[in-house]
Amino acid sequence: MFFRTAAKIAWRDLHAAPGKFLFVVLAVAIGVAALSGVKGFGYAFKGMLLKNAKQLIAADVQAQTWNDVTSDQLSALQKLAQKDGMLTRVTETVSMAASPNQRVPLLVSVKGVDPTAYPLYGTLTLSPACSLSQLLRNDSDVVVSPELLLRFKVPVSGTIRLGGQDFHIVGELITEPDRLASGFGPGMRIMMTRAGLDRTGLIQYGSRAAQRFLFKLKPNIDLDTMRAQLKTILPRVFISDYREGSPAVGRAIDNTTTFLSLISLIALIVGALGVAMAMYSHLQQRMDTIATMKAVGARARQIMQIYLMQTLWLGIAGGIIGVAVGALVQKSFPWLIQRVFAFLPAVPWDWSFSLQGMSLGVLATLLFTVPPLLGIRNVRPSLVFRRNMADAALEDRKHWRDKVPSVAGALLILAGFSGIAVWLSGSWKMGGYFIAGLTASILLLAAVAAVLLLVMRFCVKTYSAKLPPVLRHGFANLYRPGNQAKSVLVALGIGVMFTLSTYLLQRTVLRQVISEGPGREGNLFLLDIRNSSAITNLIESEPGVTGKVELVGYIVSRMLEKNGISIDQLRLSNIRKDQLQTIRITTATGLPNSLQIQRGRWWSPDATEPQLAVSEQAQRDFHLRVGDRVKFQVAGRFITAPLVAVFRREQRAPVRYDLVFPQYALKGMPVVYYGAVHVEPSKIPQIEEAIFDRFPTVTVMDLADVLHRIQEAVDQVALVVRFLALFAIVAGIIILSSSVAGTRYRRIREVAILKTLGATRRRITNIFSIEFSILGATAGLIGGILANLFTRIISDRFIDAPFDFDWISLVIVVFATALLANAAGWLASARILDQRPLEVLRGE
Amino acid sequence: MPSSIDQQPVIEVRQLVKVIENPPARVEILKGLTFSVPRGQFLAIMGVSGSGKSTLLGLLAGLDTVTSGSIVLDGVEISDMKEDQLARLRGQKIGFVFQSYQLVPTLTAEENILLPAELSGRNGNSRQRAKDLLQRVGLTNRSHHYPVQLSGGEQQRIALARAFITQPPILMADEPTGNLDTANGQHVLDLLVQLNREEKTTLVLVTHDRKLAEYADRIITLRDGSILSDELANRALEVI
Repeated sequence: MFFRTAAKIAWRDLHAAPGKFLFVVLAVAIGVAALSGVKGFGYAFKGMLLKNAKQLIAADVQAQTWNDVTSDQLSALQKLAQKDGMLTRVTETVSMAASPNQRVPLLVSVKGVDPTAYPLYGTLTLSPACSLSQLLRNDSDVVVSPELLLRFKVPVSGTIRLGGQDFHIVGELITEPDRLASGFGPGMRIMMTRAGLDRTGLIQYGSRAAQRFLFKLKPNIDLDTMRAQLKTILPRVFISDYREGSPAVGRAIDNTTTFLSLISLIALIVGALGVAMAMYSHLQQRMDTIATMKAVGARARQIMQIYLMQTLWLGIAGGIIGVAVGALVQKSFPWLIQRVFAFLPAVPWDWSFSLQGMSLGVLATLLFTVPPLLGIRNVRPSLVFRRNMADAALEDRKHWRDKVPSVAGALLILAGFSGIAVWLSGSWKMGGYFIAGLTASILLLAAVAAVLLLVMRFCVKTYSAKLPPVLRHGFANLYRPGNQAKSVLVALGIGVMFTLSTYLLQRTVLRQVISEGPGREGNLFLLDIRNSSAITNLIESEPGVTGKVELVGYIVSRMLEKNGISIDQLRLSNIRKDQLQTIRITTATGLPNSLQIQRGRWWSPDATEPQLAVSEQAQRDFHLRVGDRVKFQVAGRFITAPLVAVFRREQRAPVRYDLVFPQYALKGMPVVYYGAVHVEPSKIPQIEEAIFDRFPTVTVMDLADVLHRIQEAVDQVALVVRFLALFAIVAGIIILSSSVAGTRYRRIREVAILKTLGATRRRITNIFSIEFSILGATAGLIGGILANLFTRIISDRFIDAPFDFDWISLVIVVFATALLANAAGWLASARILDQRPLEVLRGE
Repeated sequence: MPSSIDQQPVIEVRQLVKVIENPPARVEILKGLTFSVPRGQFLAIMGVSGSGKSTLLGLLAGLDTVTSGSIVLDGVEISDMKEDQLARLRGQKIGFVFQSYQLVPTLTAEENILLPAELSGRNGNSRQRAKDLLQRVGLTNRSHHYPVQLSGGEQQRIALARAFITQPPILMADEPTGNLDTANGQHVLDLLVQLNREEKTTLVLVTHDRKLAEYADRIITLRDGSILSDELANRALEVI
């Protein structure tokens, strides 16, 4: 029966001061907008990235084998494809080919495909521009790469001889999406039908050919289940999926997903924190009504009903606005980036994200309102006898029995947010870390706040005579009864922590994503180089070369032992152990420009003793430490080398250093060089021709197109990360301001009394500024330290990227938070200074 | 003593102690008070500021917890009761009038009067009774006004009507005329006494106003948390 009255009171209360509640609604809206918008857009964006990744292997999953496939295995694969999606088969091999103008045969890579199905993802760029099936009309038609036309001196419509058969060149194959997917990517390409490939007679029992079975899966098919099924049919094949197509895109997807989840969580927590602060302040102002209602017979449950209803309405209102803003963010983002990228992700309106965001927003709002609502139980009805009820706090009673509901409330919040965190991040581990971090931070901030207040009290007590009155008053203000210093400090500190974490994480993710990208320094890759200096001189003398040629010597080896323990016995994943079976060692004399030593020291340029330097990535992957002794098998010889240095690779370095030996330590071994150079795309054919003429054994790969696609994906990730981080940081700052602004109500009466007693506006401004500055600087310091620790843990455990404590950001954030606290405090309180004291005091 | 007084006590207080601990300070506000109030009596509690009279009223109404001793209201021991039980008891047995009215600002005059009935779930004929009470306090035409639209005297008359809506056996009033001018104060006081007689309630009034206490059947005077005197009205006023 009380429901109607409760609803009436709740509604009228909202109606009486809509401006005050606007903030609560905005706080929820920001959280929900971030959740629905970011999550929705993130999902669409991830879809786009995945699609890009799928293009790199032209499939969802592929099985690749160099062995013959039996007819039973083939029919099992076809059955699987009928059930779970679509299958197409690609065969690749290398062979010698000749033409009427190039009688000396040259090595070419041959690819046999089904033109009606291939590629399952992505597109081929052909000249003339049409589909592959339109060009390859019969088994004697082929399309070839432009460099083949150049090397074989044949035009389109000419012929090329392969496996004793003549083939008719019907077009140019300019790009193919899965160029790097098999081991036969580099070199001149001939693409034909599978029947045409059979006609060459190249594919016979025991011939060196790669068979790739490409699958496009139905949407509901689990990738890992599919992989397992393929492994059962073809036990000795190499299975990979689009997640491994390009490490750069794969990592970008993983890191961005992690980042998006974190941002959503952070936005939600910060938003809910704002709601909690606002509701606390609201209930504080309603103390008289609560006490009166209790005095005339209301039970705590009935009063809670009123404010719970109010919170629910505010949560829903915020949720609706948030969903609308979220939709706008989703819709406007592609528009925002369209000037930068032609390829826009389609962002369909998804109600599930809106509903998810709204439910989580309301749930978070309710959860964070639990403590002030529980505080209602402790409002003593005898407060009605007091004149200034606002000074009474919604605090706990001292008896432990009275604290049980509060503790239960805290546990409920913790459990609720753990659930939300796990749900949003889709990971128990991340959810756990997040909640553990949040709890530890709140406890630490509460402890720091308690210590700060003790110190302030001690200062005022001990140095009372020496402290200037303004300072004394400012200090004393922090610990006087009814001050919300503790809760403001916790809220402000948590807000700073999350806002700075967003910035630091964004920087870390960007650095990682960009460094994993191919960069723009090299688009023409050179392999199998024996004479490194001669080829460098040749290339650098050509027009159109826009960068320096960077070559690095390498040799393939096996890592056998670490500190005398066989690799098999080390606690490494099977994937890592497999990697160590054919690991590439690079060589260097002096420290290459693109590396920075992090630990240990580099050898002297003339060092001949075997020594090892590793990248931070390799150090993490293989659990290596400076001082470890690592045994390798290199070209039939065994070499044991101490690990002397760990280095960080510069972003976008065209050659990749992971395990490095001194150049002279591998003297006499068959070191081969590879490297890259950036060339204007239009000049690539010319330079290829020059290299082919002088160094026929050097393989040249024009990867401009593939690298451009990967780089584009990486750049898109970077832009999204920057945008979302900015959004979350701005939201964080708004909510931070509100936690300080929420103390306005308490100041009204205090200002009136101070004015009555003769305090000037300036004096009052100074007193409050001291209070704001202490709160802001302390919250900034602790929040900043926590943000660095939090980012460190997340970088280490989830992003797999190095992170160093950022002292500069810490110093900046201390000053910035103090400034922000002052700005927010004064923006909210400036009008109070103009109020006449009598107006306020009589209003009581 | 008026004939309406029933000798059966409706309030019984034994060895009532209230201490406020705020370490290291320990303030004993009430020091072992013992008295009883018969049904229908109009009791005034007097004393100087800080003597403990508002604290005593708060304890009698179950608005605060006792440190030791016992309070029996209408046959129910309240000193060990939990918060919600006390709230329910207040809704059933006690009406309140405060010095600063304490109306809920977001409810109209009529809704404020109805609030205790709605809280205790006794809505039966409460709407009609609210109208009656509004008429008796002379504010029928102000029923849809909000507190902020009413004068101090009008607000206190609404508070009076609210106190009687559930027909409580006990009415407690804390300086009910303290915030009013003489004319309004007198009007409210007349209404209080009149309604008390008509409704046959036991009235406990806290005041330091001698004129107000003159209306009481009995006056308990407190000093430093102890009973200085407990006399019938005329004799007590002579002592004061």
